[in-house]
Amino acid sequence: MRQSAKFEPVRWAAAAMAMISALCAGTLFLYLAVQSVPVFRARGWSFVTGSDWVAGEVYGALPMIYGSIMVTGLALILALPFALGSAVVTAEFLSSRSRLWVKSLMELLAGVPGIIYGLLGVSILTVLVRDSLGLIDGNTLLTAGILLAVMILPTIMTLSEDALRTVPREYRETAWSLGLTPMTTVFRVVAPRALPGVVGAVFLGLGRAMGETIAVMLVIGGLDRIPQPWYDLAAPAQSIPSKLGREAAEAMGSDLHWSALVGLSLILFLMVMGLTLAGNLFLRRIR
Amino acid sequence: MMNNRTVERATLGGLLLLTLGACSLPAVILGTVFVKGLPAIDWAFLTRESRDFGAGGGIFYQTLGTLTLMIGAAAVSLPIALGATLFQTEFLDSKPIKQVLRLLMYSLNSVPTIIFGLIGYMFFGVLLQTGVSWLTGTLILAVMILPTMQMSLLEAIESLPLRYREAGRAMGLSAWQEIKSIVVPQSFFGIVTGTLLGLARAGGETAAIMFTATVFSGVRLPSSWTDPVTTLQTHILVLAQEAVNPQALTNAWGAGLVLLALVFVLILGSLALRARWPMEAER
Amino acid sequence: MKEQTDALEMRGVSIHFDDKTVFQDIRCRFRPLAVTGIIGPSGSGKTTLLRTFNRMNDKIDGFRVRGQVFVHGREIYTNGVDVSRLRRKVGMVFQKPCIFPKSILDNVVFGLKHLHPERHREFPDLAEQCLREVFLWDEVKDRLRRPGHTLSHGQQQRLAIARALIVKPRALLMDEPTSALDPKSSRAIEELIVSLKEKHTILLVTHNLEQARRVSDETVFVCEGRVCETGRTPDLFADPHCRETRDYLEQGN
Repeated sequence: MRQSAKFEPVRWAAAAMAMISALCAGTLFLYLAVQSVPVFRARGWSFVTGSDWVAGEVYGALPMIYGSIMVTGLALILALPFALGSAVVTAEFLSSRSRLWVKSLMELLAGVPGIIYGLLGVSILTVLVRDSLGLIDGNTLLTAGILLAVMILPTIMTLSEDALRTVPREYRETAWSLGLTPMTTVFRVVAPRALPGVVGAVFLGLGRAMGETIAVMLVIGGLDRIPQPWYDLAAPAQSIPSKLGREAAEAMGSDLHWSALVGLSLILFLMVMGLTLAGNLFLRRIR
Repeated sequence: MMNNRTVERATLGGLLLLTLGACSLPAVILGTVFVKGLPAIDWAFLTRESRDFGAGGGIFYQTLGTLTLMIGAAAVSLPIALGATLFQTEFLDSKPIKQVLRLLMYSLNSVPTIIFGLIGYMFFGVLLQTGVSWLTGTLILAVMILPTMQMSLLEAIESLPLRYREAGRAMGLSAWQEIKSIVVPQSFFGIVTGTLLGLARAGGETAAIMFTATVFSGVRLPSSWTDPVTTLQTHILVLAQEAVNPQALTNAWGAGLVLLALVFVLILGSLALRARWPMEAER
Repeated sequence: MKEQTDALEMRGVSIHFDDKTVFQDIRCRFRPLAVTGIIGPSGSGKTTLLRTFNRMNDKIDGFRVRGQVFVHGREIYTNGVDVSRLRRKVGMVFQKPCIFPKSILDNVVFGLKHLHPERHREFPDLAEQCLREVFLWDEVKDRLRRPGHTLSHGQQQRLAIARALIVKPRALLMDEPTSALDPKSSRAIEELIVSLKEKHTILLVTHNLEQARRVSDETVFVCEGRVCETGRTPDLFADPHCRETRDYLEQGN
């Protein structure tokens, strides 16, 4: 590195930028913690465990937490076969040119704005779900789960593919030279070695699914209740981001209501951060 | 396990189907939006303001609003991202600190965008008193795309071959000179790529701006720092929830087509750049 | 049992990578149950030539081969060839042994485990057999369950050879197997190679001319996309016919 004079202006300007960038992350968390204090003080632990939410009266986050978890889990189950299948095919069986094409398609998919998914959901998917399941209303956990699955597919696919490519070529060559078929090589030699990376990819995908607002908001049904029975995916429900999106504008004036929303944000933040940190750990991006 | 040739072939076939399914999604999405949105698009649509709460008229100011927020966000974010990245690549030695910065960057990147909206409103809108305005939206988006740009810039600058820098040092260049005449010009395409990706990400964002920067109607161009705008994203949002009027829905698709086309062009641009000018070290 | 046809043979073979022609019109025959050294300048394609015999080049983008390649009397680049089976019949030893993160025993039986999982009771005996063949048994018999990477480099290479032997190949393709090893381990491997030729046809790519002289019965000199010269090792080294061969041998000395 360089041994430059301590008072180079460029150095300090760059340092300032780095500070701003770093502070953004830290300040965010602080604000969340501080601003949610009122609602926790008013409601205590029942904020997290309560199931009723009436603005101005009572605030319970459980239905939203439940909805977030359900919809995220469903998205994962639906996306995983496609994401991992494509990752295996792309990493192991495609030429480098084809690989570039696939990765480009994935990047495009990842860039589709959430509102477009929302539009597709509202206009087409809800109708499809409603008609094929014989429901009154197509705004359900299932609908939101399907949309989310498409949204997190590129994330999981790309990162898993990277993980597979990281496995050294020698592994494959040794297996082939012993007469193992390509498929067996992939499943028995390459995939086990790439497993941490794939797990990381899944965690990051989950984090992304959990944080998605607009698409989910439009199709999940907006009902602040845990469905009866709890595994009824064809029922309307509510996720945390969806709730935030719906009520943020209303709550702007009111102190407790706003604090409740910030409290929800804190819970969401902690869940997403947990998933993201775990994911990055597995991907070895942080030690 | 799989000595049977049929099992091998069947598995490969199954995986190929899954791959095809996944790869067809971008086209399916674009195709659907195109087919549904094209009927709404004509010159009047693109250049007039909206009427009847979106059921009539066009999306002129919405498009401008989206562009304003996108470009503003990139303009604010780029210098900060560049400075922060350069600090890490040119002036920082300590590995632990680099790890921490990287950790913060990845963390910021995964914060749900609605939280950006909430906190951003508290910080910029209330504390700094910028209210519900295009300025608030721009600043929030700028923070949001900061990691996107940083990651791109980091990749570009880190892949600069050592020999370029060594040549600079051999000539006795100072840090600023080295940055100005070697690092930035040589990673120029990486910087452009990062900017395009940042713009695309900002353009795709709704949750962070819907209650912090926009109102639905009655707005043309903002005339001051603290005026709100109207955007394609929020326009679609409101129209999509109007079940009654089919014309409104068609207009929503039209706006969606414009937005999607905009974002796709940006991403394709960044892909094309990366294809034609691969990172130096990869050559 | 000696074959009617030679073990490994190429007739009129040309090899291309995209637009680049690596080999043009090769014809060569490798004597069965003998060690043939393949020598030549760096980049002359010795490894490519070697890997053509077990179709390991198939996986490389843009690889094309024309002509006829025979392994044990059968053409291998035609339709209907079971590549997995071919690769078991023609084993390969790489320059750097890739030992999997498993136990020594699991490494040795690796190929067999996926091929014939039903024979798992025989594995320990078969493993012992192969480890004895590579003179490794005494050194590892007490620690078969220990991880493979706890062995020294020389031992790991012998382990890799044992691993290749357990699937009963008739030929062995060796790509500079000792170039990453110290002299003592190299000599051990060389002795092993000489002992293996009783039952296997061995092709040995090496850039170590002394090694080629010591170990191989015949030598093939490869240069500029052709097989420049072949012959019995003592003859070729003492009195090379081609100018290129002479130059190369002189350089090595």
